[in-house]
Amino acid sequence: MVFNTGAALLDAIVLAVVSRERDGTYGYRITQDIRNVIDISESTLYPVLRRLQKEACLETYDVAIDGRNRRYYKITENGRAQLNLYRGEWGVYAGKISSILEEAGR
Amino acid sequence: MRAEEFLKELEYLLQDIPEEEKRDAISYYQDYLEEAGEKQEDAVREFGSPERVAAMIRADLAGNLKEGGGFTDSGYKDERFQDPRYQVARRRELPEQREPEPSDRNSRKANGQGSSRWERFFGRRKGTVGENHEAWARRRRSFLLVGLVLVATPLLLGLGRTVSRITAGALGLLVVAVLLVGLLTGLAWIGAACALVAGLALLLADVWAGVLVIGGGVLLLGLGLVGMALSVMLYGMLLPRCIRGVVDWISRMLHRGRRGNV
Repeated sequence: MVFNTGAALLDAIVLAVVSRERDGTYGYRITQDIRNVIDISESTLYPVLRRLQKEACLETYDVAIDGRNRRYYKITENGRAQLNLYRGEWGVYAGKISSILEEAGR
Repeated sequence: MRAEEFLKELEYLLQDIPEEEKRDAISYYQDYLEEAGEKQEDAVREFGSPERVAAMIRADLAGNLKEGGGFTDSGYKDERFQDPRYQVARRRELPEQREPEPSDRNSRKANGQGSSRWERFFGRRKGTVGENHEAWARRRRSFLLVGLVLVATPLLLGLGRTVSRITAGALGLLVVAVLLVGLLTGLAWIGAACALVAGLALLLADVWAGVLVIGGGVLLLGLGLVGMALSVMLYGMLLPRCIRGVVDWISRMLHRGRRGNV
């Protein structure tokens, strides 16, 4: 594949993936889910997750597992609003691109 | 690189960020690698170098992440992070073309400008992002500032007639004094030579007169030596130091302006 996934788009993807789990999910799981769809480096998501958390789109809670800590990320109301915004924007944007590409000369 | 190495290196590289941020980052990657289990080695390889990850984290902390990079299908691509020694710096307005760096240095050397002095003047730093883009903007700014100083000085001297007369007088005196040292030294030497010759000649006629003149010549010789020492000091050391001082002052102003933008 050829196209860049900009920062905003990746925010949207992360929010969408996290929103699927009612009780939230953790970093490794999120990364693997996204890597099933697009190819990103395994280290990419930390800054994204951190930023979404600072922007109050995600909240975190820790669960002790096997003597270590697992940090879960859950989507907030703010995050849901943002996600819906992104979905609307994406619909418009993708539609425009598609129509331009389709109208291209043969 | 194994997981522990990676984490230790990353922790070392993140020393300069706030403690809480550092702990969050390290624990994220630590948990991640533990979750990976068998695929830990692959994960570490996928991370890239610790320097790259550290730069990414720092860029995100500074709010710069959205500007530069893109999450391409072949991984996070940001040309700023290719060089591991890269220090994240904010980009400024950039000209479109990239100046090829090697030919740029050669052309400057060919122009007879010693590279070290000019590089210091313009403050080339290695490994800075879009180094060539920045060099353009920086050089433009340097020329503007130097031109401004050159134009402003006579204007500043023009303000206030008495002030300008006094400073002009003082500067004039200084210049005359500096020139005089060299001139007088030369004269002393010439005088000494003449006196010695004349004295020797007089010795044949009148001993005491000859001795007197020779004595005078020796005195002039001494003065000439002192004058020579003075001129060496002035022309060899003081003047270059003054010039370098002015250049450093100008470049320091430029540095301050630059850091203010970052």
